Amino acid sequence: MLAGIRKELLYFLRSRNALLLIFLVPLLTVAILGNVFNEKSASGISIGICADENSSIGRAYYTSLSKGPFLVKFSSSLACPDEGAKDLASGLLSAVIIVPEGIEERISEGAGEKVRILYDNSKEDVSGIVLAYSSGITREISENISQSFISGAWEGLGKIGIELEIADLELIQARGRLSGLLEKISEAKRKLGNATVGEMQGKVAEMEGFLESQRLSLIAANSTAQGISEKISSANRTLWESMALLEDADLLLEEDINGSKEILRAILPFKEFFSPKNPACLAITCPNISFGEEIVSPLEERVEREEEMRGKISRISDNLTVLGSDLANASAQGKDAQEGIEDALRKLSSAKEALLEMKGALSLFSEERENALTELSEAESLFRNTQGEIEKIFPKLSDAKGTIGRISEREPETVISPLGLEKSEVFGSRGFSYVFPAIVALVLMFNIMLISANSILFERKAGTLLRASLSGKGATSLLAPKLAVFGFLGLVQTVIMAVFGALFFSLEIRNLPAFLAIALACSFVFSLFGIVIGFLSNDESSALLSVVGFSIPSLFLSGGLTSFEFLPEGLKAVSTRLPLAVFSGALRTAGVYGAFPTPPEILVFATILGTAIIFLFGRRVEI
Amino acid sequence: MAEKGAVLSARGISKSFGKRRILSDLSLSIRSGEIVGIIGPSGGGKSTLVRVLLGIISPDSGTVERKGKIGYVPQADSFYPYMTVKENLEYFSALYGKRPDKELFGLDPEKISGKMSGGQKKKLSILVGLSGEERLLILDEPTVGLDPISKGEILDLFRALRKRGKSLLIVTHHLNEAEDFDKVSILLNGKLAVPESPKRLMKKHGEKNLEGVFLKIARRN
Repeated sequence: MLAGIRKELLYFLRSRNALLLIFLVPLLTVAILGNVFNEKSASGISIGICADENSSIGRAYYTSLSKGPFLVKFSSSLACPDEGAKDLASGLLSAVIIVPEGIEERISEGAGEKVRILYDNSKEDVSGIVLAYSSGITREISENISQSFISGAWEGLGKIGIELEIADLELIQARGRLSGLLEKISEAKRKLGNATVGEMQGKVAEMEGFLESQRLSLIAANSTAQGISEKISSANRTLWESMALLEDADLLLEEDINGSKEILRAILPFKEFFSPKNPACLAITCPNISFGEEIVSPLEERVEREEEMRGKISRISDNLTVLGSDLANASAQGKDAQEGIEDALRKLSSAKEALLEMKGALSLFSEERENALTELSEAESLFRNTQGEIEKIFPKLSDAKGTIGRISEREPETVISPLGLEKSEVFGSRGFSYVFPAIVALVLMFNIMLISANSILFERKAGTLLRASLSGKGATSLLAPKLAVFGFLGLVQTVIMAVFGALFFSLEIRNLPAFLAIALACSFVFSLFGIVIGFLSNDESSALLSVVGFSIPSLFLSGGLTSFEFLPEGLKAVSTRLPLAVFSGALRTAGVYGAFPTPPEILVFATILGTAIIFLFGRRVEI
Repeated sequence: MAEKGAVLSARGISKSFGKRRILSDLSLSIRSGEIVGIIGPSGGGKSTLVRVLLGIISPDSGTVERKGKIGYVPQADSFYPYMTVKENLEYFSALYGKRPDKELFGLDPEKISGKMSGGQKKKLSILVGLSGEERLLILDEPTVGLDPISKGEILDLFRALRKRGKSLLIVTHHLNEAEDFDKVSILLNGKLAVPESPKRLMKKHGEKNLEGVFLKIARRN
């Protein structure tokens, strides 16, 4: 028994690799897990906030979360929710807080609003912290909003009280002004009565004009009558003078006629003598004229004419007498008319005086009307001012009403808790689709690495690799088929697991080609690690221990048992770059979200592959 | 300058690992169709010598001249046990771009190699070493672990190969077997004696077998 124990112990004691692994693995494990579990607080939990640039709620989340163990990324991009969900799916973020646009306005309008949080519950320790912080911050913001609302409400009510007092005073003043206005209107109405002053004044003016025109006509008529009277008098005088002259002329004519007649009677006897036909006359040298014709006849004709003239004068005298009589009548009538006109003028004067009195009264009335109008205008102005004052009161009353409405119509719940947190679990803690990528990476790590290590170890021990290398083939030619086969084996294993998972656990792989490509790359990388272990190990035991020694820390540090966020910073930097972590993340990105791994992950693959290739193919293959 | 007719000629080979001198100014020449045995104690530098001769490691000093390819048959069964005889031979021949020799020396081509007897496995291992039509084959303890019948078969195979013009350098500590070799050289403390025929060695040292010769030389050193 003792010999058996000794034999087993000697194996480990004489194998430096085994010895190293036996002591190193537990030491590493304790060191890592001690670090992990001794570290009480998390750090560097990535959270995205999608909110409007000016969103006070979004900023409040940002400020509060930044004080916690979070790496907070704030984005106001419209695509933020989608990109955030994508980053959440690919493991870049642990949660995304989505603050809806215009949330502050809706809350201020009395609506109860919710901020949405998408979180990855596959890491319950991380999601627990995220939810605890987010809920606390939401509650704090909500309380601040409530406090702000209640303060605002109190302030609003205070303002309303003041406004109402002012409105009350203004209404009292307006009421007083309206009373005065009514009085003024009544007075003006009284003054104005039903009079149509303008019309009356028009008619008075018209009458005045008419009277004036009548007066002027009468004056003119009077003047005419006076003129006529004077002219009649003058005509009468002229008539009498004419009649006197006619009498004188008649007398003269009569004397003349009488004288002529005496002449005629005196000369008539000579008439026959002094006729040219009388030869006696001619013998005593009678004038060469016809006495009869040239002296008696004209004289007779003259007497005749003067007799005729006297007859005419007599007729004229008669006519003048008639005319004189007419003129006397006319003069008498003219005097009557003149007297009538004068009487009319006197009456007209009286009417005018009455009219003037009326006009004076009307002027007075008009003045009073003007005063009344002025007062009415003043009343109108006062009315308008008062109306304006009253109009000013209405918005104040409306505001007051609105404020009261906003306060009274609010649901008590929205006042107490205006902001809530809507939790959307993106990955459940038991979501097989989520853990499947990690399972694949884990299986590939163990299987492919172990197979590769054993394969190399066998070849080294059997010498087949050395024999093959004697053919002149380089290490690349000899090892590339192994990589190809192990990669293919990894792919087959992945497909088997995927089919089984899909059949029995409702597994969903959203981007199968990408998932298989990453699984292939994962197989290549772990195959390379296995080959390195195969070259470094002396026997199967040490190879197995090496694989286990590589895998256990990977398992602990790759986010499977403990989230990265709970690791110390230095360890976190290493663990996130471990192949298992990188490939789990990459497979998750492809399988769960359907995306292809992000460039940094690809860079890590390249680094791992490059390092392995340099190590492996740069050295000479030895037995 | 290589010895005339030699497929391998090593001169003045020295090799040290750290301060420990493994090979010290040794020379060796193997001609075509010749079976040369190198005998020596374990840890005597046999494996290092083989590696130097194969060209896997370089000597600190001295030269190795090879004419044609050199095959190597390790002590372990050096083939893939999950493959048939034919598959193994095809694989190794393919590395050289050749087709496998049809002469299988009694091996069943379709037999899974891992399921064969020890002698057959060794035979296959030797045939694998000749997949590139090598003129010289270096064998490391080819008969270790074999039963007498199997040993006999392997020795018969050596002879058959010699007839075909193949040269064999056999590293062994089975001194009795080496008595059938054309030449034998003893590697002791990193130094290699000039190969001589076993009979001549035995006669030279007045011993009846090589074991006696070896013990005599070993005691002397």
